[in-house]
Amino acid sequence: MEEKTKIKEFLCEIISLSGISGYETPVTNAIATTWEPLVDEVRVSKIGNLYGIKRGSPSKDGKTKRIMLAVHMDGIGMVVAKVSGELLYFAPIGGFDPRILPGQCVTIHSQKGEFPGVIVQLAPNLLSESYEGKPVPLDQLVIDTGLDEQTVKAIFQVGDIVSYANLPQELPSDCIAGHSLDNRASVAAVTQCLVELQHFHHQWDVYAVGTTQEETAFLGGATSPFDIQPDLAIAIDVTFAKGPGADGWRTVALESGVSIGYGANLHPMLFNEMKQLCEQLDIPYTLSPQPLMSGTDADPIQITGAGVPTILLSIPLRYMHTPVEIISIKDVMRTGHLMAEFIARLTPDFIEKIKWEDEQ
Amino acid sequence: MNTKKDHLIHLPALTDEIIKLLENLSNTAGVSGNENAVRAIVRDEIIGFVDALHTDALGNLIALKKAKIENPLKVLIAAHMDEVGFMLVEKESDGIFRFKVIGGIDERALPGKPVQIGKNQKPGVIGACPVHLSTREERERILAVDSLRIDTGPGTSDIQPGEYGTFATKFMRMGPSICGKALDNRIGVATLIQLIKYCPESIELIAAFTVQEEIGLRGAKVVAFHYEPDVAFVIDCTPANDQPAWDESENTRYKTKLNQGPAIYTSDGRTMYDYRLIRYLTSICEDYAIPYQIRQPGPGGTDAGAIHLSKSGIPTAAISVPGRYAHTAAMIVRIADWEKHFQLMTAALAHIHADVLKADR
Repeated sequence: MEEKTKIKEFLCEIISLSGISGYETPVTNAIATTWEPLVDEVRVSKIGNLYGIKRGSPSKDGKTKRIMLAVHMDGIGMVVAKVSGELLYFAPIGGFDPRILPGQCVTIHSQKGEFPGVIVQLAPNLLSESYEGKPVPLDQLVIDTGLDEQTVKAIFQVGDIVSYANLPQELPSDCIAGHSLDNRASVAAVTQCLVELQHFHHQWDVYAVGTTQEETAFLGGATSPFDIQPDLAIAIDVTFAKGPGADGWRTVALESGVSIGYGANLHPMLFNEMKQLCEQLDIPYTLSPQPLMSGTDADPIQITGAGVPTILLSIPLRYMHTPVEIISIKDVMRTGHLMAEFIARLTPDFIEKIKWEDEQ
Repeated sequence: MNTKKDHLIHLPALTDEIIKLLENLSNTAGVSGNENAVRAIVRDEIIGFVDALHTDALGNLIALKKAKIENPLKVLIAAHMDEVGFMLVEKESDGIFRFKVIGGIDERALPGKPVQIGKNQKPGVIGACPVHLSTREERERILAVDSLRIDTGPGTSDIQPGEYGTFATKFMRMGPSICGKALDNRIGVATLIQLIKYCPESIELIAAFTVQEEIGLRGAKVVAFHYEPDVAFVIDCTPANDQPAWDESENTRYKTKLNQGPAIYTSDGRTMYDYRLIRYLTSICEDYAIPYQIRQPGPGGTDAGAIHLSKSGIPTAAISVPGRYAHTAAMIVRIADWEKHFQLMTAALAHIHADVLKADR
């Protein structure tokens, strides 16, 4: 099977699973299974980060450098906030626009098992005001499970997690639509990097890290670099692709390749290295200006311990934080390939050779 | 009143096979004006059970079953095949289309949904602006359909304006309920397919699978004119807004309630229903101990709105299956309500007689 097809199948598998922030286990397990044959060691940290460790060839002094590839596994979702008769009220986990909710098919993860439900808006006369011509606010939207009141009372409780239930849609030109492509598309890119590293000689130890709770508190991004103490880190996430409702300087075209972050959170010299490598390998790329916080795992990683030189690579994605996000597999493959080529070129003295502009 | 019920018939159950048929019907696309795929399923299902089958100038599919007596009562049963949906109206860029809504879809039900386009149900989505790029003020306004696009992905040069689309929701069971994109009115279609098989020999049955109900009852209008029935029954779906109110005050405007059986109409936005038929239906329910409810009078309508006005007038009744969230991506119906509706219609058809209409009106 072609590598691209394999990655597409893997991505479709992991976006069919739930992995809401704080409840990543279903997706963690699936990723661990795929990474296992590609790395020397797989470990899960005490708060749920997934570490896939692929050792580099030992250096003469026995001190091997470490690169961390940080990719958050969690996705946005909801949590039951009130059980009211046969209906469930809910609260958000992570940030999203409630206007996309009415009519969404969801899965409610109760202690009694998984149950289907639909997010609905009730008739105008049942709301606090009619909301004619206005969005119904999130706290008045409800989940209908099709079950009667008694059954609902016996099955569900406040705190049950709710995830989107729509299945992946394969679009032409190697595009995929579905929920949680933020950030499972990047998980697929890291996986592709590990696949390519099977054929590369590399001197650095590679720590592929699936982080938790990026969408809520950057828990994984803050704790994994403390565990690993990397010499260099790449955060891989998604960025806004141009499309209906999204234009302007924060957006790049879908299928335009890897977007490389530039700004205070990211190391400018490493940015240059990445850009030059893209030029050299003829990998399409765009520049992604990050004037303040990048809003990714790169932010906490950079300030862990004595500080970590950090790079941000992003995959263009349409309709972020909706259940119908769209990405191009081509961009996933390019991002994975770029990381593998970058890692293969890392020499033991790579970090020492990186000089700030004023030191050169 | 005299309903000529010499003996009660055995009421059929709603089998898994019939639910499977509904699943197929609900997953199939049949937006008003493009009911072809639904019509094909119906035709296959009924062709061995009818005396004549005809597709008219609008696309209505009419099945006739002849009576074995002279001057039989001509009974029309109408169920609309069409569903609400979209039409692509302009290609804006590679794979991105402007679209218009067909039928009464609340704009607020559109953003962020998977859809399927055209005959082969090709995948697409209605996207929405990322929350990170919108302002709080913007999020307090609705995402109007004119600002939304259907995105089929780059490289879809084979999709063109003029193609129809629907939500992509797949039919599913939810305990005592079923959920699907087009239960309104594939439930009626599935029921009418069964009724053809239970038709008595004393009447002439005109089973009409109508088109364009959602855009103005247009299919039913020409069917009623052409076939000129003595009496008409319309089977459809109707809202059950019976959830508790936000402030827990009494919900007095629920239209219908789930689990209370089929909903019989007395009046709606289009029709004052024939009270002789209403009494006939309620007496059937009482004789057979079938639970039923009277739909709260109020706005809305069914194919009856067009049928009862035809020619010199046609005595018409409407009986709906109560359901929640029609005209969204996912309507929910209780299987028990559908079964009771199916049983009421079977019995009503078995006992219908010209005497029912003899009372003054």
